[in-house]
Amino acid sequence: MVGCRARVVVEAPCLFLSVLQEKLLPWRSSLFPGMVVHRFFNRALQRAERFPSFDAMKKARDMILQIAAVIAFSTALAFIVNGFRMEGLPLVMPFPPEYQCPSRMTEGLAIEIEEALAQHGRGQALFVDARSRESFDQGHIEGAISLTYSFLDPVPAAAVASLRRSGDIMVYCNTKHAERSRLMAGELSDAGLKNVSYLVGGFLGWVKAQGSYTGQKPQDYD
Amino acid sequence: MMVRKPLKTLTHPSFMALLRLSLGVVFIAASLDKIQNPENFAANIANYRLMPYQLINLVALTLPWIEVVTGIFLVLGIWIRANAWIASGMLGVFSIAILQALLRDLDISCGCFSTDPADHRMTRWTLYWNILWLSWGISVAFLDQGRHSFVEMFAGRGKRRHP
Repeated sequence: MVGCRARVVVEAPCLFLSVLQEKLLPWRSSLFPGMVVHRFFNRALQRAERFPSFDAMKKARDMILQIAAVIAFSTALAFIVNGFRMEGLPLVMPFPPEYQCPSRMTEGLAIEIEEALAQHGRGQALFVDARSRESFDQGHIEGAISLTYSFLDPVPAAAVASLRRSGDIMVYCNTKHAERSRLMAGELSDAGLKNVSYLVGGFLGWVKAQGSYTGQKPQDYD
Repeated sequence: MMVRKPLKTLTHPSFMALLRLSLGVVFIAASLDKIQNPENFAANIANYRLMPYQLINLVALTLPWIEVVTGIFLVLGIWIRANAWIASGMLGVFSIAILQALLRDLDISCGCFSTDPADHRMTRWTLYWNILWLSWGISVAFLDQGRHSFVEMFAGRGKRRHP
């Protein structure tokens, strides 16, 4: 029973091709496309007639297995690599794409404390304190200016305009991963300012590295 | 006869091998940026507005890897028919997606070779190229005999060692 059904599956297309071939015979001697199509169907029929149903079914089965193997292998590779990525993509998108932010916020370039110390010593950079005014008044890097960063509001245009006249700009704060200064540096870069970077290690790292400051030294990160 | 020579050239095993290699290289080249930036590729897929959003990330993760594995297997000549059908299937789906995007007048990036939204804005030529590659895939699936493939090379070596 299964064998009969298998034969029907394989032989039905051959029957269809033979009917098409008969319809196309008038084209044979006239048009080039007709000759091409006729030759194609002829060859397809010859091939189909060469193999008995069982062999054709075996080949079809093998091909389907190969397709499944390629797809399974590729999918496994994709999941493995995604698992190793630092920011792997979740397998299921949590909410519709129109509710997502169109792009990530830009982050500034990092600068290490040693290089920042050297630039401070040469008087080549302007240091911008992104913390609150209160924190700035308690203690800050010598020569720095205060420009409090707000997560909700953009940096004021007047402040951006005044910073354009400066050379290298180094933004710092006192959080462990420099979140405030990183984002502020990115926002200033987006606003068109060149050579803006954020201080890795923040105010606490600066003080520990014997950098010059005024006021009280911080005890820990914010 | 006039028709035989060009037809014989077009179906010559070496020409088929060339089509197979070209198709494989196209697929490998198309997958590289998508593998490195799956988030951007997910955004490209979302722009087509074709599938439920829950499936977008899954497709964005797996599709580039299927492309690169298929491309490598086509270049090496491993499981040629199966990989040619996979490639043809994918190109058929891409062609339908591009056609519906063009008909709906969606001003989006194709996402074919780059995930940058500003790259490869979709035009009619995007669709024509896909159809051309689809024709290559179908030709390889039906007519490639595995010439100039690694499998043939190893099989040849085996025969020489054990005649």
